[in-house]
Amino acid sequence: MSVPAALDRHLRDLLSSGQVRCVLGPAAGCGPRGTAHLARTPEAVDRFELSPLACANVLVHLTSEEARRDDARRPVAVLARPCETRMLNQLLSERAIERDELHVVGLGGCRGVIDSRKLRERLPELRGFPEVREEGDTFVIEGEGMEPVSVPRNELLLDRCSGCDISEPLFHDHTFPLADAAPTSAAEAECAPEPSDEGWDYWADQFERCIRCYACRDACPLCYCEDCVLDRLRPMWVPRSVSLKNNTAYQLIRVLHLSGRCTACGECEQACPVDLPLLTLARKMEQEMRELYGARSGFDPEGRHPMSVFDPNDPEGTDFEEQGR
Amino acid sequence: MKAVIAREDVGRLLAIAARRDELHVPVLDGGGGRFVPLNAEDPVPRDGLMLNGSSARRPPKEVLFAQTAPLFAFELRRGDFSIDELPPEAATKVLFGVRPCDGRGFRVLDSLLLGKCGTDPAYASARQGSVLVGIGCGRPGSDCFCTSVGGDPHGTDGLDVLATDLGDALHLESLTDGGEGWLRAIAAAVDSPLTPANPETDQRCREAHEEARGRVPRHVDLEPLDAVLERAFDDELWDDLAAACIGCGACTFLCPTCRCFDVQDEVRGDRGLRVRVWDSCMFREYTQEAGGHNPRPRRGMRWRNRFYDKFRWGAHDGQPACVGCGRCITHCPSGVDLIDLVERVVESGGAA
Amino acid sequence: MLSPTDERAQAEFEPTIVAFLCNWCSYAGADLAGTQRLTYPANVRVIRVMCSGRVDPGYVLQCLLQGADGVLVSGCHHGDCHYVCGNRIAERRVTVMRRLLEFVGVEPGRVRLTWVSGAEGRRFARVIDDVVRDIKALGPFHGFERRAS
Repeated sequence: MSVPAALDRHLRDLLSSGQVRCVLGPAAGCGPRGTAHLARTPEAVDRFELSPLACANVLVHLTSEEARRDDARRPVAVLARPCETRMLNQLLSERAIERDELHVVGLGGCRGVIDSRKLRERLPELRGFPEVREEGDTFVIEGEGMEPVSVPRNELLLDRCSGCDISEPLFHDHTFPLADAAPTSAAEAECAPEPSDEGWDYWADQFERCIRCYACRDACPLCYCEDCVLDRLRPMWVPRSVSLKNNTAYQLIRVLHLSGRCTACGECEQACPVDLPLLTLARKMEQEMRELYGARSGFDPEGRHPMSVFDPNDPEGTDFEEQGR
Repeated sequence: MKAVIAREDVGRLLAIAARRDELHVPVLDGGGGRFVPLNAEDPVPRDGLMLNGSSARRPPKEVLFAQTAPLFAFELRRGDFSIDELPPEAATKVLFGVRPCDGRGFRVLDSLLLGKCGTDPAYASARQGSVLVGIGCGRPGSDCFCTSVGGDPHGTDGLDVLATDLGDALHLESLTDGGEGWLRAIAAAVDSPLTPANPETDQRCREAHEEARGRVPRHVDLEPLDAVLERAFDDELWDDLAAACIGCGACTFLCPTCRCFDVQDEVRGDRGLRVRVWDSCMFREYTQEAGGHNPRPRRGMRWRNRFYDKFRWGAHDGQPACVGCGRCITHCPSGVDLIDLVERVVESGGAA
Repeated sequence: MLSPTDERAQAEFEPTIVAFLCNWCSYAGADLAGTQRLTYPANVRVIRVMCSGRVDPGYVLQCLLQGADGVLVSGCHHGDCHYVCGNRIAERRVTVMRRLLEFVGVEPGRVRLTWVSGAEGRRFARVIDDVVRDIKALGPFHGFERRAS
């Protein structure tokens, strides 16, 4: 499938004219998974892939230590879906990157992407990276040596995509429509269920499984600290021993450090090799920040971190007066 | 010794085994599966047991080489301090349902943790007398490539007993003295569900082995790799290869042969515990030196280390330290494909 | 040394509570309670910080991990903060922290926030009474371990 001709030309021009130092975007990974691809030469543009299956961790490479050490005089072009422009906004507001370091190629008319895990579960016999076509409310999956299979969209969509209300890039230097995308149907726009309170026993079962590979942190575009508190030995905020208690500490600190910043993109959950429901935590925090402080990360590139400001009308945080003394 | 057991009797076999020794079996746990100890009184539900389809996502390595192993406890008392050695593991461990690739993985772990560089006491005591009952892979997973690295879906290397799935029954064959002893003991139990093997089951077994070999989905030619690695260490290609890697430890923690660890003192007040915990060469911290220097500052260098370890440094008996289980490929958060990388390294030919 | 929570019988349960008091108001309030010879339960371990806004939610979490049954953060009244708005920032942080704890099944009442000025010795004693009573009612904290079944 690769990319539409006009976009392909644009990217090649950017690289051959030297306007950008590289182009960062999604590509086909191994199996039914996307991967990130960094094109430094016009020829390397061939590898980009805009199929709804190609989505993974692209923006995290903007803030990696290697990227920051790279020749930073010329901007990086980024192929960004609408939700990714939201993440870019958040990174801009934190000055993790500067606007003039970026050339944003927005991808418009996004109807959501596929959760490779759901696909693997649905079609376990799938080998390699399949062709995916969108036909109305179904995805048509065509794998190596397989008859095409139609699967209803809502069975494969990534959890973050159901209930998503941005289908166009929030900002861009150039924008291209994703191939033959049709507007989202009303049935799909219905919101994902609110995170429900499952209690400690449920979360203990989850956190106990964590293997502390740090994939959730490393996949997060917003976890770009060079010196992470979770790696610290003195003081050791989270002991290295893998146990329910320490894993809980690890996850709660991670979530707290992201509260008010997290855009609930769900990369943490996608990255987790042991399927922890991390997007649930992210969603919950996003919802709380919105309810408590009307804060929505990633919509204002000049916005301030809601944990570093206050409003005189903030809900009361103390509860002593109410007890009638 | 060879024996056959009807599929529906596997639960009874496990109950007998669990009464004898500390038995670990692969079960679905909501996270792709892992090995857990089986309680003889409270056996796992049948659909939770992972003996049919794919291997447990977390390899059995952690049963014998725990992710967190306390080495000793210490306590400060009136200016003096005391050390409490922690008693070694007493029970014999039996692992039932080990995939042949993971069985070979223990060979790699043995060669390093019980090898000429010294013995790891925690691993040695857990490994002492352990019995690995393997189960062949009738349906290899989507990224399996064991046949390319010297293995086989019914390979016996490293296992003590091999079970072959015959559909309605399992065919068990002992491979070592330890396996023979275990199998005989199970057969001798009063309520043993084992029946002797016969030429017909042997034949079905051979057919199953042949058929499974053809089902291994992925292949890679390692023949030219060694010569390229000889030259490729200082090549610039590593940074390019690692471009999509996010630097987490998922691949190393899911790998049946990765065995790097860190030793930490975890102190609270006057008491502490010295623990050995898994570490990963994919972490930047792994090579961070006290003085601030890091000899592997880039992910490309860390990737190169893992790659060389799997295909050159960690190799023994002429086989790579990679056993082809495919976990690092299937579960890589950023979709990096080890086989693709091997091919790209070979293609590059190493530095001119 | 803190004893493991599960060893303590509910009946004679005396909670361990860590109180982060700001240097300019709440700590002075605690001082005043002392000079006024007021009595309050001895379950609180006081940690003086320069401002309630300095209390990282990570500190609160560390207390709960290392054996505290409850945590109190206390600063200046609204508008009185020595650093202008540190207490308002603390208010947001503690609120969010409590919501997260509640979501993973920890009683949010284990983390409390209050304002006590340097002139309010009596209020400080009342606050401690209150917190200790409420946390006693919640019982020992499981310290993010499995509850004994």
